[in-house]
Amino acid sequence: MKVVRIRDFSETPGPRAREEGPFSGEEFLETVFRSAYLKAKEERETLLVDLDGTEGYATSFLEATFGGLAREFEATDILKTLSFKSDDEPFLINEIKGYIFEARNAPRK
Amino acid sequence: MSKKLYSTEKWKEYIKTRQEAERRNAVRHRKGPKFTGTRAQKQQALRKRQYQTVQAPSVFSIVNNTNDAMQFFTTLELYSSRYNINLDLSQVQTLTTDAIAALIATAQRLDAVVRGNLPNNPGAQKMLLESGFFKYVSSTQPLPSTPRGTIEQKANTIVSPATAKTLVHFGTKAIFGTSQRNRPSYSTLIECMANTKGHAAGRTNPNSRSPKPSETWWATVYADAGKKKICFTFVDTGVGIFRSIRIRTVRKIYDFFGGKDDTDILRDMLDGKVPSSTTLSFRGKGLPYMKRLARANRISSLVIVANDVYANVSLNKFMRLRNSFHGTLVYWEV
Repeated sequence: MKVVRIRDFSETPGPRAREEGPFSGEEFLETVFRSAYLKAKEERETLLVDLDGTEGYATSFLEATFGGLAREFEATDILKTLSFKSDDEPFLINEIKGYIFEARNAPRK
Repeated sequence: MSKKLYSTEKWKEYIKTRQEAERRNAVRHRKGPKFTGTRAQKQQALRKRQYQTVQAPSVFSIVNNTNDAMQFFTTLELYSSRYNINLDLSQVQTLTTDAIAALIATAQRLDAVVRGNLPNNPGAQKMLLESGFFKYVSSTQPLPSTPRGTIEQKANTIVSPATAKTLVHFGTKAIFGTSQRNRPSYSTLIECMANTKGHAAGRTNPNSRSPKPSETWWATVYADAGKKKICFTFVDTGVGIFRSIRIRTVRKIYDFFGGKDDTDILRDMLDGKVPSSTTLSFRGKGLPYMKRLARANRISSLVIVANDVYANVSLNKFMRLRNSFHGTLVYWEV
């Protein structure tokens, strides 16, 4: 199992897009998450996303990260590959799954 | 001007008409600068203006005394188009940080010199001094030296996670003795900042190459040791939720299908039924998330004031305001 800890990217996750401010979901997706996902998928491993240890999350950061990934790749593949750890805010896991499902219907990039 | 005069119906009607005219002027103003001189010339012209005194209500609180506070801000806007402003805060008996944050944000936006005095009430005076209000508004009287208090104020134009962290940790340290995380407040601050960055500056020409104008936001945290609560206020003096282009279109549709007003639109936005001003379906999740945080009691006393709508989301109380607020204010406690 591979692990991505969002706190390693930043303890203070920011907004949706780079232009809005630092540590955005877009930046996280492009610099860390997309490649980690692709590698895990290629090696048929589970990618554990550890959401703990940060100051908190705006919905826009989470949507840009997980919804953003689902606008590029198959949502069913994503849900098969990812697992989540969120002891600080367990409800976030359902929020994120919701973003992935919703993004299935959104136009692809 | 006496308080009695501007509580009459005639005055209220007059203010309402003027306010609409001011709003139209403001929209026109956005299309190009009215004053074509240099900055120094503009400052010189401003200094020559006469001062008009505007008295703040005795309970100066947007959250607790919304209509009187809005009346005050409307009067301020009205006079600022012709006069410099003398804020008379001497009669203020009760002062809350949401009003201070809104007053600073408004004073910074107005095209007038704004100065003010201290409330006579010791509690209100202490709060005003501790808020750092006089860093932004000049004083008409000598000020006593004030130690760093229980209020922290920050301003910016972009989403600033570091500022959100600073505010949250300042509040938790003052109340709990140790600096701690408060994830709901951090999330709400980032949502508000993103909303201001994305929408508050209003319409931009899609063909224009110039960058989208940025609106300044102001965030305040107040550690209320008596109530053991941390009070957050976020203010921007942008176009406000109901003047954003997309919502204006939504309002026309609501009007057409049954005469719903802005309170209904805000209700639906909080329920996630109105897409965001970007028209992308995956956006516009900030307000519903804040409502869920309030419903789950992870934040309390969530109040949103935007244009002519007051919403106490925690109490599910929505009302139309007689006077519009120029922008958006979000208040909550933990």
